[in-house]
Amino acid sequence: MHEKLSLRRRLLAVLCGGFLGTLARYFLSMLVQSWLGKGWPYDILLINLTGALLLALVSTLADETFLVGPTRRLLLNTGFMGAYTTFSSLALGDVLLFGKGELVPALLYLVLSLLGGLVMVVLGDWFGQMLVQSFRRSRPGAVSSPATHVDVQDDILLPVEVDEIESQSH
Amino acid sequence: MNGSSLTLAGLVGLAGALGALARYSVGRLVAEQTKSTFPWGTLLINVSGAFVIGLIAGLVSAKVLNTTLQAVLATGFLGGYTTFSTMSWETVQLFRSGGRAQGLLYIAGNFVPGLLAAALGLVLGGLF
Repeated sequence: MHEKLSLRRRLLAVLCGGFLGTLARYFLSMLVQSWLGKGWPYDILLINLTGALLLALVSTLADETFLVGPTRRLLLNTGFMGAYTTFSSLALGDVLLFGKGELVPALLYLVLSLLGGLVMVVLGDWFGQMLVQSFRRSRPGAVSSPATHVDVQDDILLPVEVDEIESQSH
Repeated sequence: MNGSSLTLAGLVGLAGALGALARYSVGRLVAEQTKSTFPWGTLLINVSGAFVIGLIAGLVSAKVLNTTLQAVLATGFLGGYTTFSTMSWETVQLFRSGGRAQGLLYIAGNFVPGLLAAALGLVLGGLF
């Protein structure tokens, strides 16, 4: 089944996801700041790390066409997680800490964000694989839905040609 | 929450939705133009977004912009435009497929120019 998502469907998925993801960040940030203050960016770190974990989980489920198809991937990942997490606030927050001469807090924020993000992606991917495997074990022979064709051109997160990666890595 | 803070939240959300759409469009356009598996799109988005958020913060400190506008433009639009989760995911994909050099180049390419761009924007915005 080769179905291309319509432009309207793609734009709506990204807009709705982006709206909700931005609001989730806005309110969670206020909540965390009311608990822990504004001295160190606990809010953005928490948001970015949880978002990286969930984005990797959703990506793995989508790659295995388990629960997540192209539209949900756009809604959840490109829309929601993309807007929920933020790079610009991270960069500015870190520059402001460096600017105040708070060298150790600034470096800590940088390193925890950078390495934490990668660790979260690996964890999210692993958790997604576990979910898919446990489902397939519990229902041998079951075809997971959606069994639709994943349109590679629909998702900028997917490499264009698998052959290209192969040729680059060798 | 009173009426005006709900309105502000709604505007921040709308701006974020437009930021996400801008990221999707720029990302696709760059991917089509470069025909590369290296995520130039997210890199361009993150570094440019970091510059503009610095600029806005500088303009606020110089009292050219107010904090309400900063919330809509920076927390809303730029927050939705730039992304941390996709960048981290792409880095891991590069480490797995393209090798260590590409992964390191990509993450350093986001953070080093990103922080410098934010600092530059902050200084430039403060000049007004």
